Amino acid sequence: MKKVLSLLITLIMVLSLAACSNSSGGDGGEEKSSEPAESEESKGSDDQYEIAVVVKVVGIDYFSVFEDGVKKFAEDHNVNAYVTGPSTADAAEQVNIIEDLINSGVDAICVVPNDATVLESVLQSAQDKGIVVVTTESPDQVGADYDVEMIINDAFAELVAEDAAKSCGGSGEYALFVGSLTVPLHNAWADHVEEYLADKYPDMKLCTDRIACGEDSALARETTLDLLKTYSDLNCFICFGSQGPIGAAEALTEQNRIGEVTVVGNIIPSEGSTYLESGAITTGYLWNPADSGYASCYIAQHLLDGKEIDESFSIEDMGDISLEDKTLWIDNPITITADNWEEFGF
Amino acid sequence: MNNKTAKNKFFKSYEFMLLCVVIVLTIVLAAATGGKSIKPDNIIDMLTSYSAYGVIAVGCLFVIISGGIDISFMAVAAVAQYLMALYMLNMGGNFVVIYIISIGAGAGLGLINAVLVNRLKVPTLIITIATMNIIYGLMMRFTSGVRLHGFPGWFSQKTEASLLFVSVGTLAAALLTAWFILKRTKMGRRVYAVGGNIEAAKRCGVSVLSVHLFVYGFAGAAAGTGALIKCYLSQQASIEALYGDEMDVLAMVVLGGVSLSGGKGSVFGTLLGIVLVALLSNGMILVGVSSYWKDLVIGAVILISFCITGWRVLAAKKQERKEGAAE
Repeated sequence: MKKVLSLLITLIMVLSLAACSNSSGGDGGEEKSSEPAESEESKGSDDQYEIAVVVKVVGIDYFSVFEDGVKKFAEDHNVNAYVTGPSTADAAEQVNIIEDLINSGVDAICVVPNDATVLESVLQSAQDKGIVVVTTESPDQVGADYDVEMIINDAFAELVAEDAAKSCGGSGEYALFVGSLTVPLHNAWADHVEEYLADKYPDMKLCTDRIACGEDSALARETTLDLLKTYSDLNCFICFGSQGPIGAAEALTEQNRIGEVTVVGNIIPSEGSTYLESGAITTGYLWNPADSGYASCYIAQHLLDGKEIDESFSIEDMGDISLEDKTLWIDNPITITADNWEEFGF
Repeated sequence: MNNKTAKNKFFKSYEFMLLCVVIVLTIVLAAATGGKSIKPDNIIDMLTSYSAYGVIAVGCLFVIISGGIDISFMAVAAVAQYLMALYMLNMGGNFVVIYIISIGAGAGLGLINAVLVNRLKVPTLIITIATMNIIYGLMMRFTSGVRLHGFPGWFSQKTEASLLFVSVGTLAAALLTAWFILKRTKMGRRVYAVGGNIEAAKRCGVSVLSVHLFVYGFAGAAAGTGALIKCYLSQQASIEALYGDEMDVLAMVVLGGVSLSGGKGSVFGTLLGIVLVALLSNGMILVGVSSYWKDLVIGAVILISFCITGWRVLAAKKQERKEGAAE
């Protein structure tokens, strides 16, 4: 019995080794022809580009909609584009996944980084292997060919800050939530919100340093309750990270303080709908994640085809594009209110 | 005489030291926040927010006392939460039904862990890492990670009473049940026996399988209950809400003085562990510690308080030995 088993195991190991060497042999062949023009030729019409999209975390609605955009692109352009990512928003996990993708020999990797600096070296090693790297939500990413943003950061932060200030009357204290203290985008917005409000609405004061609870609604609820007890003039929550407004709104609902306190920030329209309608969330802001997924793949394919990206580059059905060094900015935010949340379909 | 030695023993125990740490911390926080931290509404908020992980910690306590370690509990909790939420969204139901569903689902998955632990004789850490990944993998496959929300009115409209009952009430019930089982039932003694010395327990005629089934089943049921509380508080059921917080829960149990090699640990200690973690997290915001410093401060406070505790416990033991020698 034991002999049979050990024989079987050995057989499996040998077979899997053979399978591995086969695929890596294929990779080697492709690596040699890493010049874009050549690889284009080597890909016949039935041999599709393989574009892997690594998101921050699989399993949340936001990236499900993101995936819809990637799928739409795959259908429209006949490429093999798919989404993968860690099950928690962990940069180290993303590094592992990207290393695996490099070894499996994909043509392009699109990434939504959890931590820009942690990913630098692995993205550079992907580029060294001739893989096209496109990032999103991480401007000026080292190791990326291009980064694409679906909003213009300063304009977006100003939009949120201006609405928040108007809603709470331009005075009092405000709190800032971010997903984590190392998410580049959230912190860029938070920085700009602080600057903008200090400049335009000097009567609005930041109650305490930004707090990292924007991706966990239960933690945001708890934090909101604690902040409301601590700062009596607190009348505004500006939340970056899709769970921040939900948690804050839930806390206000519990405390019967809807209407007294302004809550603005990133929300997934369907998730925030009940709070938008009750008034616990004042307004939500976002861009369409499906557009992000679509645009990342679009740029990846554009580069794989060996084409240049310059000022004349454009993507169908998307807003104005401005090119700044290696970052493409597309002005495309959405404002979500009680009246329009149903239109977005996610 | 007997009563006096029991009292002396308590004053030298780890739990007593921990109680002192908690009291000192409460006083320091109260002083630093001008009394805000000890106002009743803050204490209630704090207990409410930490009741979910508290209940889950009580379940972990059983597993660790029995000499094992379970890290699949958050995955188990996620399944229970999802099933409960799906039932509510599709069938309506009421509180009794969703308690039964989440406890039942949790206990069921716990029993699978128990059978694997009992039959495979490999470290429980390895088994529960495997089951954790299998459960999350299946959840991800079948739910594609969609968050559930928009529950019926009886669940989504919280009143002060219902909030207190579902969170703190459930935590109190879990603590009392755990205390009763560990101190007043044969099964409780067997759990300690298996954790202390599994061979000796076997030779005394303890059925290790029944202890494992009970312990992992209980831990699963506790995880399911905790998931229900968390869902009630945040009004959402999602996979990633629970994932990744395993260490927070284990920290509560371990700070509560449980021995990781099994056979030692108490419900009172775990309660203090829960309170300690809650106090620290709540206190950081009330005192206004910048979030950039938060982790550092929490780590430092834990380290310092346990240096003192450890030193005191060691000193007490030394003294005991001296007294013993003198006699």
